[in-house]
Amino acid sequence: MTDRPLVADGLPSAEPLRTVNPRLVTVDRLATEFDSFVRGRTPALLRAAYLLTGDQHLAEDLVQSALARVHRRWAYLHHEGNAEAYTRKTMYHLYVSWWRRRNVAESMPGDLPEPRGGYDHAEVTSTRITLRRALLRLTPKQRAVLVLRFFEDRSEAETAESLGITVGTVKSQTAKALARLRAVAPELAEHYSREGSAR
Amino acid sequence: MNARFDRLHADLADLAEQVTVVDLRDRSLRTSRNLGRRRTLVAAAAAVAVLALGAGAAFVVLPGGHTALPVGPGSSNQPSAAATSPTSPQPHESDPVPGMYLYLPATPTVAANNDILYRPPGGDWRKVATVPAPPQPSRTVVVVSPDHQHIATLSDGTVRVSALDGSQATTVATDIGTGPCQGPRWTADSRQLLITTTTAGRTGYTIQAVDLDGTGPHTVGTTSHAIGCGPVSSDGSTVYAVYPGALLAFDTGTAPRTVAADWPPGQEPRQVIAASPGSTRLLVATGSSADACHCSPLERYAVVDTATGRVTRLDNANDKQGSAAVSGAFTADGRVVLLAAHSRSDGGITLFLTVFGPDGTIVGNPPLPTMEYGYFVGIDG
Repeated sequence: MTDRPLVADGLPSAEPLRTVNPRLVTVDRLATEFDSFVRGRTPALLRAAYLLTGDQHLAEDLVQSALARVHRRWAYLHHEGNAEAYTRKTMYHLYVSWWRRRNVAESMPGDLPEPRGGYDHAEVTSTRITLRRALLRLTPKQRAVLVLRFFEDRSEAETAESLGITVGTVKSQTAKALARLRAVAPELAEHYSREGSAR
Repeated sequence: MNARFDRLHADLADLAEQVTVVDLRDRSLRTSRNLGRRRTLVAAAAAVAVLALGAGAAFVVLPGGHTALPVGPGSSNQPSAAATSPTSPQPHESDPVPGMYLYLPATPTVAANNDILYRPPGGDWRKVATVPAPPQPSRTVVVVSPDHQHIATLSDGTVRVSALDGSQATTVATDIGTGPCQGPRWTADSRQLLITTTTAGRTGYTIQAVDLDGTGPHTVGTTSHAIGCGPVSSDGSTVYAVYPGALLAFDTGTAPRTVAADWPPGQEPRQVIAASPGSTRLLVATGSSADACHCSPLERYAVVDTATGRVTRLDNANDKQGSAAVSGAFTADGRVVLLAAHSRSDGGITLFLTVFGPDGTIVGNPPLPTMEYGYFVGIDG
């Protein structure tokens, strides 16, 4: 360390510290920013969570739990600019740990919700149902790898970091997941390539 | 993603659209409060356990192996000869807290922002300099060098270095990626910046170093796994970072090596916070390596000797669960200064400043100024 003078050009030195208590104002601001973050990111998080769990209510629980943990560290995460990445990582970790503890979503939950929007037809609906059933027959880790790689377009390295596993495991789980998809849903096989991609 | 998977992507996206979007704000806050209460209960239980252990320690083993009755509760607060080791070093009894500098980052609502504060031993905090406000405070990371002569900024993947007053700004790295915890980090001698870069489409993380004279960036090392928020180095010759559950050393130009150390179970390294002069010792945050989302309730701290691997656990800096290290430093004579933050359930943050002796015991808790948030910059000497 050094004892060189600290004063930058034109700046007053040794000015007494102002005794402003910012906390009341700060709490309001942080709360507002957290609200904004939640409302902005919830749709995307819910979509990913729905693919992971296959169930509306489980998806809501998963996202809610992840956001609660983010809230506990919001002041720090907000300052670091890590909130988005931290939320996703927490959600995927919670998902895998839920499965370990409770074996959730391994049974087929209720039917698909009614299609929304004015456009739908038999083939799309059929693909949806088939894909959803096929996803639920993957292991949670395989499902998480598929969602991260092919829905969220994450690289193998990013997927590995999100799940806390090695890149090698991502590759092997991707290959197994695709093979399993083809096995349990042969009607989808023609759509999806036989090889996992490296990015 | 390979184009052959466009169909899978489209089908997944179509399926995902079937979810009904609901407002989870209130539910998240309720769960957050419940988590806080649960952690408080765990902390209380831990405190009871510690007290129970303390009571257990009040049993005295008599010669011959007989156990005496526990001493009465009234005497449990009396100084115990056994509680104070005669060999405990007490080198800083009169002046345990070094002079130190803090940086208070810009915030839109706090009057005293972008300030560098100094607190002499035994004195009060005072402002000694102000750093120009970044154009986008919420999206720009500002890091003051330990010698408080330069600042490094990271914004939109670009790292810039300038004098403290913002003059002589130089872009030293671009397109470093958008991952968390990429730095920049100053070496303890304030002569280099360490940056962790990611590249879309490529596996692994690369640690790069930039000299203040503009040389670089040059690659220090690469790892296939994410490393914790770091890395650190005293002078850039050897750089240390945390690999899941282990501590890695990068000697420039060679493959990384693992620093052998005797980590207690469940207390594996999670983040390396600071390096001592010469990088002979490292300040490390520890926790369960299985807890990659940092959801475990308590973060502990330890100092590891990089030559022998000996781990010295530091006294618990605070009893706040969910705390996380912000920054730290070593004095030349082996003391450790640690700034840790605890996010409160109301969204605010509480900071703790703790000074440890070389043996890991707490020797001082200097008061902090009133502030929203701050980084520990450096210390005297």
